[in-house]
Amino acid sequence: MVSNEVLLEYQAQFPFLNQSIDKPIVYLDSAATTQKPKCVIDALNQHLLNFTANVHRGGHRLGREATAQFEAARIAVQGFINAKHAHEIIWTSGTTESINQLANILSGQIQPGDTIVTSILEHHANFVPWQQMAQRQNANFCVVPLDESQTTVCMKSFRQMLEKQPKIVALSHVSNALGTIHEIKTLCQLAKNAGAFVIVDGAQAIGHLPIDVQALGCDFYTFSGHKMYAPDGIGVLYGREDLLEALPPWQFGGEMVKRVSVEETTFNQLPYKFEAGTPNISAVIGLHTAIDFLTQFDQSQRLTHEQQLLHAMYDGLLEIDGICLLSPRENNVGVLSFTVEDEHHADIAMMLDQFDIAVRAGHHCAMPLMGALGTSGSTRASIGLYNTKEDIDYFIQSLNKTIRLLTV
Amino acid sequence: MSNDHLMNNFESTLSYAELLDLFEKAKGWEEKYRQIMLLGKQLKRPDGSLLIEANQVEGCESQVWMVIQKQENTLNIIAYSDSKIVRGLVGLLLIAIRELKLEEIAVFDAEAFFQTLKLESHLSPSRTNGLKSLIDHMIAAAKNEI
Ligand SMILES: Cc1ncc(COP(=O)(O)O)c(C=O)c1O
Repeated sequence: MVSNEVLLEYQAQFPFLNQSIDKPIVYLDSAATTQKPKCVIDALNQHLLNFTANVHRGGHRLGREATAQFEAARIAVQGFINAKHAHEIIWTSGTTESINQLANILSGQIQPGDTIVTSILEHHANFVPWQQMAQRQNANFCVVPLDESQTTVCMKSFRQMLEKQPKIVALSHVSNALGTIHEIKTLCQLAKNAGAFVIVDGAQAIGHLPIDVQALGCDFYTFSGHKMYAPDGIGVLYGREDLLEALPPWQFGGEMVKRVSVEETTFNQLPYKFEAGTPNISAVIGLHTAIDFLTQFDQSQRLTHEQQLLHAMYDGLLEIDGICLLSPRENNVGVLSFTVEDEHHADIAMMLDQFDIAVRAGHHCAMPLMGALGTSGSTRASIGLYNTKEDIDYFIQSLNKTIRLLTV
Repeated sequence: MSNDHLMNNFESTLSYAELLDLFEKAKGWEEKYRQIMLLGKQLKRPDGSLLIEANQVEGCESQVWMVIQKQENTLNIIAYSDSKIVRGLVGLLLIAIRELKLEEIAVFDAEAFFQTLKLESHLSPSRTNGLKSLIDHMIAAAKNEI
């Protein structure tokens, strides 16, 4: 068990927890977005107060300082995910933009009849861009189904799809609707051996698991800052250097060019080639602070804490009549999706809201998955490092009351 | 709007005055919820042929279906939702307009009505629970029929 001091140390960093004393909210929606620690809020403030300047443009002191901090953040991200080079880190507005950018810059690689593989467990952000790309390019769109556990991808089907030598394989590291940690390293290696460009959507992994893009062997890895205690509006597209060098830019504009004449344009070097326009500078700096925040804690202790809460919640849910758990107990970052017999997920969430508990209800932007699971949606409770055993106990207790209130 | 009259699917006989009285007496939110759930229980599932996409109210978390018909000088509303809470809220609304004529429905102040019941903000008509659309359609239909 994580000691009380450690837990208090996590909690002390989140002003959110102490704000609404009369009506504290039990926040179990960290998979949607995490609360922000004070250091991140302060970093945004400090930046806006003291260092507002555009980056890589002016030669003045403020601009130099802002640029230095901006590039230091890139190096922090490089270290955080163990990329080989800092220039393999491209700033985007979030996972959604990262994947859309990829689907555009990879367009030229796809010929009619080629195969693109994704899975039934994907968030729409890692599903629709590939589906649309396939339609645009007359490519085959193959979707890996669930395995027997109904919580992760079917390895057998995946292997079969790889026989078609897909050009693109896009998979999530962790399912947002279920929390499942997929066998991503194996999946990446198989896909690489089949000769595909391998894209990993790490949006749900980044706030919990250690990430090593080189060990994973993927070509691209994407995530959003707001799911790892950083501000929203900032995300990362990691890409392997040789691929980024070879691929064309998607958006055109300021700072991504080297020389422009009436006749032609030559593009800037990496990473700037893929960063047209003024980036979200303050959020980049906030992201750096969030990385420092996360890395100050002992990683395994942090994970143990989240896993203990997950297991307590899972076991608590199992004891409630009529609950059907969609998420696995193991290999899960801390997300529990469930349905309640005869009850609508919207009713469950609305009633839990009455108990000041924040959960998510709906299809979780994973309609293909919900379809495969034979449900229109679920209630999802997800854990962040600031949650406590008391939160979980209160949640289980309130869910029991909720069901009682709904069945008059 | 079709002309053959559909069976109304709301079985509660509570009058508007009785409803106000119930909510006046209800202690705390749990009791109010209980009353809403009881009302929802009396909103029976209509014939499946009505639960089609064409009758669906757009853009809410749960599914809401409705058919509005003119009946003499008032409206016959058949509505249903897959959410129990929304069914209860629909019940509230049906009681509120039960004794109203078309002219009165056309100027029905839903906000004031829900305020009278002193419900939590998330139980008032919104786009997410679908009640807002339902009320908009109801008012438009009444105006149309005057
Ligand atoms: C697995 C996964 N992919 C993609 C996204 C989209 O992220 P964003 O909305 O930050 O662009 C999310 C967010 O919920 C997610 O969980």
